[in-house]
Amino acid sequence: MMSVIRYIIISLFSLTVLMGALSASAANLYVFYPTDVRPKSLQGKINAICPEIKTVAFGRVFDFYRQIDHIPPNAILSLNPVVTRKQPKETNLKGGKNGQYEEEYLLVSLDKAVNIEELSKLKIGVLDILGRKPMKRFMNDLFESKVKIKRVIKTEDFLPLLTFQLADAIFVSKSTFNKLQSKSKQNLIATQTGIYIGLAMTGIYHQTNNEITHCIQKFDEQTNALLGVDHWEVIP
Amino acid sequence: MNAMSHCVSIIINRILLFVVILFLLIFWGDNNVLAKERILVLSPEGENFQYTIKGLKDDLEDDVTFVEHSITDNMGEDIITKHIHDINPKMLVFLGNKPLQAYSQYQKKYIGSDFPPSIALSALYLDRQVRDMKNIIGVRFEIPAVTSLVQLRSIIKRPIKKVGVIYREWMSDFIKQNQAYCLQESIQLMGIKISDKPSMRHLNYQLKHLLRKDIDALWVVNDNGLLQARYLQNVWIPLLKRFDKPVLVGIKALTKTSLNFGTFSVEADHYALGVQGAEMISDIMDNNWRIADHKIEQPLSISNLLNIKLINKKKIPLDLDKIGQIDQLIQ
Repeated sequence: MMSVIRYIIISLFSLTVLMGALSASAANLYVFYPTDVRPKSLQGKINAICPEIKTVAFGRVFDFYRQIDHIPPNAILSLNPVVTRKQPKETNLKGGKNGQYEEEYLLVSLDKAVNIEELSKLKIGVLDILGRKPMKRFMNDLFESKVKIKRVIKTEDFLPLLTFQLADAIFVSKSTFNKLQSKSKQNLIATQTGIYIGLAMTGIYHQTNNEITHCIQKFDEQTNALLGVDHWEVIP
Repeated sequence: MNAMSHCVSIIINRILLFVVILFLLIFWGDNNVLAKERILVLSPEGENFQYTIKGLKDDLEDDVTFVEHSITDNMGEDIITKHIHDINPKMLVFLGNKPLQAYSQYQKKYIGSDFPPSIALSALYLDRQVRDMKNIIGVRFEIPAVTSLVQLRSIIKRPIKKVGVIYREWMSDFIKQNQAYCLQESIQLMGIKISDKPSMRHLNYQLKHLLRKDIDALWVVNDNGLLQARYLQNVWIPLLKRFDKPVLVGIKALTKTSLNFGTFSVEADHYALGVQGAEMISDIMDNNWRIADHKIEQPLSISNLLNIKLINKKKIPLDLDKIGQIDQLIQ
């Protein structure tokens, strides 16, 4: 009887250790990709495609950066400027759409186009993907002049910014502009800026048998569309 | 002897080095704290207020020190006087109505003084609260109908062109502003104004009248006077049982399936409210701690809930591809 109990205890202990080891060895992927879809929905889609990867999707930029510092993941997936800011060991995949790896960004305003020459007089609404100070620097660098910005933390907050006149224009990608146009009945006018920003990409901190790379490469059409891409290419 | 004195000398040197390092650490640490300006945050207890404070801190804590104090119902302007005296803050942040009322008393007591710049968040009907106060701006708590209706319009496969609302007289300005915003999105907000102290019979009559109109949805404003328990029980719930269009509410509790009342609820995103407040503080900091734009802002970010059971019961077709845009689903 005692030997049976001992056997059960040892078996349970071994199983616990094994499960612990397995969960510890699962590769971690942190995703921060601002979209209308809630992070838990995006996370659910990725988890369904890659159950072998532990994916966490973040909706808030601060939580994303904090978690990277607190528990570094194996890899991150985000917009190009976000990945660049977090300086991973390497960037291994870049997302593309229609053969392009960058997207045009526009200044969108209500009823009349903005005058780029008078940029310093305008308040530009922008999605905060970097945090307060880095975001200001990023925008100043992009426009090569000092820009007054008003940050929002979700893409769906862009329309209220314009409706309530809290910004003169919003700085959005062409695809976001198209989505806004289909959602709103307001007269949204786009002004070209000549600014292009890279699409989603991945950054690797600790490589684990290319599991994450393989996982991302098998994303379905719908998941890729949520991430603003239609294919992934390995960065040489 | 020599060896011993050498040993003592090493120990003394080590102690001196330790004292110097300790002194430098303390001095550096103090300086670091002193270099940051202090902002006094007064708020009632509560989880939602904590989310807002988290939003403020996440955004600004590298540059300022937030000193938080709780305000309870029995506290008045004397507690504000004490905190301002003790902390000497560069700015004040008020969360909720209670601290704002106490600060209003404080401003009345010290009328003619210079008041530090302040911002108010999470306070109901903020414009009325700060009307006579000095050097204060903030973000309204009520979500404008247009924000919620544009969201609703994008997830259901039915047009939303006319929306009914019933409101008390004191809310006329608020409704007028909402009508203007809705018009920008080609939505007609059809309001029925009732007296500030309506009888149950009158509310019943007017709501019945409104529901018979050709409206695509109903917007229920957050007004305790209209949503008191006996009105809910005897007017709203019985009448809305037969209303097969979306009912938009501002309180999640009203979307319980058992109530058969709200189909879609939209509340402020408390964390985002903190970040929006932080942006205002940041502007004030950049402007040498002066308010440049004396504007009460509308809240930008929302947290939404959809009761799919009620939506299905009312046979309202949903765009299933857009369900991922909803924070919370009741299924």
